[in-house]
Amino acid sequence: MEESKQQECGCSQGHDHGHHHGHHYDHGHSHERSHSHGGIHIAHHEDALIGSVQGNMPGTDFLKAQEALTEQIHQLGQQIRGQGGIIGHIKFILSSPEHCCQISLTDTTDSTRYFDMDFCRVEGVAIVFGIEDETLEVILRETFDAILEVTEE
Amino acid sequence: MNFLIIGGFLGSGKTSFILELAKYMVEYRGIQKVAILENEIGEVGVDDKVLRGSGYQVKGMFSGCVCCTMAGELPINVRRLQKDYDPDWILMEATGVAFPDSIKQNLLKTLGIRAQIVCIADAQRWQKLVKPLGHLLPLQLKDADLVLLNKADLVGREELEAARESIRSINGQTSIVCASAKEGIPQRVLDQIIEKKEG
Repeated sequence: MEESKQQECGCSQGHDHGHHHGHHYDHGHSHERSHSHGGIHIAHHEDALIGSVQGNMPGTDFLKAQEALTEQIHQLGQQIRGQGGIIGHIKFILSSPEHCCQISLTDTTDSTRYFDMDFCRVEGVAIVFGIEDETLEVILRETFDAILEVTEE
Repeated sequence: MNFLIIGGFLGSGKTSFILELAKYMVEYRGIQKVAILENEIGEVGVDDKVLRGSGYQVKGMFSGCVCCTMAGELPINVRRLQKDYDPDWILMEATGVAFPDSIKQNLLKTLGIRAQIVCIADAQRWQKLVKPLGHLLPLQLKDADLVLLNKADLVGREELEAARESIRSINGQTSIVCASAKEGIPQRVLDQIIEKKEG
């Protein structure tokens, strides 16, 4: 389900914001707006569009995961440029599980259960200019659906 | 306590600069406590993980920019860092779309902290970005005490000079120093930042 959120401006300029959602370069700040849909979060800041993605990549081979993610990031860049966008920065963190356990407490007794995690974790952001937020959302979804189970935070 | 704001466009090399400066401060200048305040505009922290992984005290501020929606949170987080860690230096990485002078004015107004501003510019992408983003890049650089023209080894001499002149036309007062990953940042520049202390 899509949710729209308009954030209150936290600046101390003291002017009346009313219902304007434009850019205020004269005042040196801009309103921001954002929405989340199916694990992909899109936000605006000035002219920048910020797409955040989090998900799990099945498999535990870190090098293979790194190769696959690198390939998809290049494709992401290509798609953004193909739509006439300007890439500000695209950056992702890939982490693989080496040690996993669950620790639980019932009353005063703790217990630990060790297990294997069968996925790598991917978290990242694409900050771009010059394309619509719907376009970025589609590009992100199409690019990362191929390798990730995108998760809501 | 000393405060340095590191500004500059997305992907210009701010995080790499912070890592190099922090390492120099701790290993060569004997500065005991260096804390990093990391503002990231995305919902997820990417650079803060890299910085934490390098062993520094890091406080993250995500999902917004301290120029506007998070302006009120900046002094709160600075105070928290001071209280919990009592750092000698706070290095603050601004988002790649922030206006560093807004951050500087906020710190002065709310906490009486006089910060220095170092801005990183990407020599490789400067000419490509300065026209379409001509309303953003100049506002980022205009109040910098120092501009590092980064990735200087990835462009030819003419392109480097053109970028330097373009930056000079935005900020006629600042020092502009070339840097690259290969050559690193000149030691005299790191010393200049540490010894200058306030803007």
